Amino acid sequence: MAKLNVNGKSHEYQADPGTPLLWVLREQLGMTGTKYGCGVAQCGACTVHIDGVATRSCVVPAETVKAGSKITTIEGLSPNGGHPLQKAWVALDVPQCGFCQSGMIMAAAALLKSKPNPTDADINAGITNICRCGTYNRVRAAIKVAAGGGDAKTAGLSIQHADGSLT
Amino acid sequence: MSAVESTVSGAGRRRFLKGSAAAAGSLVVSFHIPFVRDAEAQGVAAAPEVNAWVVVQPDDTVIIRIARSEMGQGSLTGLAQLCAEELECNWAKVRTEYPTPGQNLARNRVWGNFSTGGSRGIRESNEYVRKGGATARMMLLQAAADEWKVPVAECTVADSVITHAGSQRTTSYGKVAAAASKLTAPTEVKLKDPKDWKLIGKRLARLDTVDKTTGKLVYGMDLKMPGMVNAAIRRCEVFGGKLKSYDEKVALKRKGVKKVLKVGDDAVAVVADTWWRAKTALDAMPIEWDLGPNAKASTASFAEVLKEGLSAKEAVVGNQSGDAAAAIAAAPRKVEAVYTYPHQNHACMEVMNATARWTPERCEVWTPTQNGEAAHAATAEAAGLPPAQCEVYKLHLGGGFGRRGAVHDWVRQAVEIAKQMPGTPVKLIWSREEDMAHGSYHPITHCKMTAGLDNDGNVTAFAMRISGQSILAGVAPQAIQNGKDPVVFQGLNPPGPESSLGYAFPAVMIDHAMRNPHVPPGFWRGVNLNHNAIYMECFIDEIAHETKQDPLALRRKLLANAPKYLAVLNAVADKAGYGTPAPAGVYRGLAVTHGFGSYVAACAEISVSADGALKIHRIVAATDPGYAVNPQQIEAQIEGSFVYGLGAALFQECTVKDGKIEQTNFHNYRPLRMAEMPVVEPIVMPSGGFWGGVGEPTIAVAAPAVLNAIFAATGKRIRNLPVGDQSLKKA
Amino acid sequence: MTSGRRRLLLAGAGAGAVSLLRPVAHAQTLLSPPDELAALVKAYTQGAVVLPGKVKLDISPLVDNGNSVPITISVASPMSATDYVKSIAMFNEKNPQRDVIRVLLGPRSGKASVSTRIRLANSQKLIAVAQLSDGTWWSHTVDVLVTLAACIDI
Repeated sequence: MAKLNVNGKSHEYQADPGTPLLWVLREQLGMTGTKYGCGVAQCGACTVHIDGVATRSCVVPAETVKAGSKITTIEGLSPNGGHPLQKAWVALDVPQCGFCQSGMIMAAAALLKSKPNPTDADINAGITNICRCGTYNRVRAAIKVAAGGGDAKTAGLSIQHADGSLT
Repeated sequence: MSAVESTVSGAGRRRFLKGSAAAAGSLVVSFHIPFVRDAEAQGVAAAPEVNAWVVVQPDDTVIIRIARSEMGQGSLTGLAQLCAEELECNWAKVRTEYPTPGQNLARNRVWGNFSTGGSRGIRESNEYVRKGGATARMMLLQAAADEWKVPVAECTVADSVITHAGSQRTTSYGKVAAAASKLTAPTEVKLKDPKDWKLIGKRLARLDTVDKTTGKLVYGMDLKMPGMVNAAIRRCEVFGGKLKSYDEKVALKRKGVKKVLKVGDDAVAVVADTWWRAKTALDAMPIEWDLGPNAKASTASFAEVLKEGLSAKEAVVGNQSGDAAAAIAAAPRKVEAVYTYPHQNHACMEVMNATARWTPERCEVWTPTQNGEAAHAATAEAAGLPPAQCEVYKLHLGGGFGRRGAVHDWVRQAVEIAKQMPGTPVKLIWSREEDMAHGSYHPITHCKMTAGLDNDGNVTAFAMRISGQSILAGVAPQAIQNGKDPVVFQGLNPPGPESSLGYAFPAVMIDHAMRNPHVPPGFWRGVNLNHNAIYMECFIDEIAHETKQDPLALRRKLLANAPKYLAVLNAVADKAGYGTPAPAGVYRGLAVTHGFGSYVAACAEISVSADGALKIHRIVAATDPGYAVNPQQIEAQIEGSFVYGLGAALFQECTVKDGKIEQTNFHNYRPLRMAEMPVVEPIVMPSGGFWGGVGEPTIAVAAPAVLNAIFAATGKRIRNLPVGDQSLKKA
Repeated sequence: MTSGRRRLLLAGAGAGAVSLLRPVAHAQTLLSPPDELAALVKAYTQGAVVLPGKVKLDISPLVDNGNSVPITISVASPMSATDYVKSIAMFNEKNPQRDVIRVLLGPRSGKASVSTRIRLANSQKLIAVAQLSDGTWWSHTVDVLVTLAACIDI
């Protein structure tokens, strides 16, 4: 049986040669947070981190991922949705349909690791994920909020949350 | 498959437990149907409903039933706001739930229309949803008053807490809900005056955000059920073609493949333990098609037919006043132009998918759908069972945009596969390639416009001939009356509340020569308003430039008696600083229209580099939807609709060669991405007194505003969409 | 809409069945639909009392597209010389032609059952009306929801 290290745990799995990491994660390992959008690395819905590097898992054969490599999926980005990006996403109501957002957040997380204070040009180059609902401007705003320490008020959206907070 | 341990919950659980006894190994999987409660399965005594719209649990949690479908457009939250406003409950304890279409049918359609399209979700249901909340509030108050033996008029409520000031007693909704559920609903229900609204009109956060940021939200392709199998499907890519033969042995000998099944007369599916195995087996399997009568059709062949329609004698009139033909013939000057707009695919991020389980007694389907009732009808028809023996469980959509509302082809396919494997849940997922090949395409049209001008440059007559595809002719031919598809004329109709032409021309003739290629048409976000607004708004610009008038001044003149159009147009012009100098190299373009009940306008600012590279800097956009339930979500819809419409206008088209769509995935059907996204400054300006839609209208003004700005920058008039490879270097 | 478009299939039709498809004269086009339906039935039965029962209009209450909807109208009857169904008709509320089917039957029809396909552009009420050999009239009314109509708002 082959092994993958996903979100800090070692998993054994059996899959045909050539099965993309995306489908091993979703089907053999049952982690469906990572999505299938195109299968040809165009849309980024399948983005995971392999040793911290944002990777489109739909075109990576699972068997090419070394046993020692650490894979992080959206489920493992934080224990309870507490990653600064996830908090900013919630503060600014970034998602619409939400289908692209797992990949979007993972791409953003990797961007922030390499560029903690990304410029607009950095964001343009680092986030090439497709969003058909068109949430790009709020994605950009949320990345800047997370990069800037988490004060969502700086985005100026004035969203009233059920707990009484205003972001 | 390795065993994944978790709990099973949700409606239908009992059936799966019956099935799982035969399931291989110790497979126990999690199954969470969003929104649908099955209290029995969860071992919790079901809280009774106060009325069909409102359930209150003992801890004051309020569950509001939502009939329409959430597809990202925010209606779930908006509809809950409408109900909660009248209900006077604690917004922090509101949750939502989708009743099923089967329940709706069984209860005489108590929740009304489930259809979510045409930007109608909130505007069509707002009154009865508010009444549902008001009725529940009255019953809850009455229950408290009965318990206290006081007149109900002496009781007040706020945030789910009921107070009788006189006796200084309070209680909460959770404590009186059971008693309230036994009362008869009042027949006289008064709604609040809008000036008293506390939730409606507020920038409230959505109710359904958190799970989308953690990967927890379950979409259709994420479902897991005991004994479930996965199916991949291929249908003949030439529309109208049929399945001839296939070599199933090639697929069946592969690991994990369980069945190869004919689906209808035009498709074949491979069923396997995993979807990857099903898909790769299907890809490897030789298939022969009888391509049918359309195998030679192409976009080039369509173009000939559409061109002919531009000057055909016979056409159906959509808007006529005066004698435009005579006025144009007599006019000393004319402006004339021909525009074209191609087929488009919805290309939702989530491909078409459905899970179905069929037995001779019952058929159940789990699917994202914009219309639960339509999915239910399609399920019953495909299952060959009465609707009462069928059910559809609505899942959260990964985008709809009109694809998942009218034609439930993927649902029928899933049921047909499940029918051939009785008792087994079958999850059907289309590949992206299948999704691109089998869309419900934005219709293709050509348009010729002619304006007659007098010697002072005033428009004396306007004629517009649309030659092209009718959606209704393809989807619902029975709706065509006397050869007329009324939907063709969105944005061009005589004055009315839905989608009218604002400009006052002395004589008008707008007509349609129906020409239907074999490509199946459908309702794409914005429907016919998309191209109609491009045609109209770009041509008005052409008239302005021909007659040396400022495009804003000309529009203001022609909209002098159309105050709501003027208001949004002026709002964007003011905010964008139209008329004041733009930064160096930046040019502006305008557009204004009326669609889906709302008045919308945009001013785009762009620049074009010396070698023709376009940059859209910002778009100022305004919408007047009458009432604005959640302004921050309306702003999100404005931005989102721009991405959809601009991506199409700049980069996208579905072309046909050898009878089939050429575009197969996102590499050759290029959506707008982050780097191309302009700053958007939305102005939400509800003027009151009517209810207009939000999900679509603004899509129509982004492209024409940008195209008009391109002309201002380069002197180049783009008339054939998409912009694509057309050079934008200065003319 | 021309009546020639609809094919009429008579289940159990014998020599005694005659089908008529012709539009009903609309004298009362200004009435609201339910009244118009009642008026059509009244005109058809020439004012005779019509009771609910005996005739069954079998159509799905939920229809996806409405382009071609199968229906069956049947009456449980021995179809004997002394006890038979004389006629079956069906009217609709919202189609351009309100008159969908009219069938004359007799003892030689063998079975009082009519099957066909109809087009429904809108959600609406359908009413099947049958007259028995004893002169009595019976009806069955069904509400049909056409989901595509709701979807495209027609």
